[in-house]
Amino acid sequence: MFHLLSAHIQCFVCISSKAINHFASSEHHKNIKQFLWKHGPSMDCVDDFKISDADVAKWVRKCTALGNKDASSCTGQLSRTSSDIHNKFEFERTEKETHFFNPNNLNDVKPLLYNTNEYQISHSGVTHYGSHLNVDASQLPPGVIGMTSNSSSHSGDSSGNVHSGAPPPWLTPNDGNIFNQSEITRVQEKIPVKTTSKLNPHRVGAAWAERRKIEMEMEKRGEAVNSNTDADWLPNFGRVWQSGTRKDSRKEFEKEKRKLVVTAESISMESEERKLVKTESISVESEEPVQIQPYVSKRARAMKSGE
Amino acid sequence: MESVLLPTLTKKEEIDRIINNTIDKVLVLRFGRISDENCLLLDDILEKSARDVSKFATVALVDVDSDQVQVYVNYFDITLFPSTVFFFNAHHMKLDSGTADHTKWVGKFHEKQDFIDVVEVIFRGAMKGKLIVHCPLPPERIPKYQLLYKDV
Repeated sequence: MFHLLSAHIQCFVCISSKAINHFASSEHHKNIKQFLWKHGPSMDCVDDFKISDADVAKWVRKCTALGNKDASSCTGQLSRTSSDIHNKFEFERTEKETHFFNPNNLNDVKPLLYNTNEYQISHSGVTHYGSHLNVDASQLPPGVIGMTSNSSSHSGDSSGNVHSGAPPPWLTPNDGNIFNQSEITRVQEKIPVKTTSKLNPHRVGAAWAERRKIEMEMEKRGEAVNSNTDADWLPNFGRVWQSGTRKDSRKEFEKEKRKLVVTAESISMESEERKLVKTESISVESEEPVQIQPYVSKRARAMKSGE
Repeated sequence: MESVLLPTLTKKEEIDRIINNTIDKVLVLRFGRISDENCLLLDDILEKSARDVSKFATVALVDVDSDQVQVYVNYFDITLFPSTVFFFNAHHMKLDSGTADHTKWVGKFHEKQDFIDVVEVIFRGAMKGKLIVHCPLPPERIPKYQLLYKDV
């Protein structure tokens, strides 16, 4: 366990060494001066934002005292970053101070498995130095990175970090999480749905489109929507042989449709009535016997009467 | 035979639904029947151009032989097939192509680009708030027909 911890400490030290060297560098000193001159407080507090060379040397001595072997892996890492353009200046500067580190162990650098914030709290051996060199975070301007001023508020979860591929703490379902998913949805529901404002508000059917979008979103959420489209719904249409507005032509068509329905019903009723009448007449005729007589032409009747 | 890309509508509810669900896009409704040669040619052009106009138009086919669709055939005064009606946000868009009937496009298109041009003009006009637009095609490419009032 202690070996694991020391391995993680060494990695933390490796990362913090770069930061410490940067804070001790003249470039940082120059940047601080520029910033303070431009933005803010008096130049008296320049020393609060830099680390003196004496402090750096003290820190290096104490690091070596902790463990030569672990420290050497840090220098191995440091030596490997010689091609890093960004840190080239710091590397050249620290080369002199770190000569007593063993550069041979280049492959002993282990990945950072734990959140560095934890070590700032739990391991006072290294964090003590970090805090010793740290500046008061409250006085820091926003651009300056504080060493141990990393807020430990996010460090509750030790399940992993970026290197291990763990999800970020704000996405894990945590009871202590400030923003629960249910709260987020509640807040989102309260916020009125903003429609896309890029489209021309004077386009054809703009008001209808906005209303319809809201209705569709409500339907998606599962809320009941008063649907205007029943079986008899028709869109407004400018008909060919009608004059007037489209609404008028639609109403006219609906009237025609109703008339058609009424006439169709009346026709069907009439046909039913006719059927009934026919059946009645047929039944009346069948009661009386039909006398069948031969046909006599008119001439024959005239001749008979003449005779 | 149903189009692979284009939906064929046979019920009034389907037509109502597509009109109400097409938002901020031109809705192209082709009224015709599969047995008609001109309809088949028009369908071919519609299918080929559907993807190109998909960002600003939706195309659907309506089978006029279906009983439930007759109310729309009567309402839209469709007497010649194929006929294409255009909507934008459930509002009917008219097209002045120099013919007697501005409420629809009667007949087929000569080529795919003609259809795309017409739909684009309708979309641009609709986005500017116009309910009637001028047809961009030259007169020789516009099908001619006789419009009869109650077969008179």
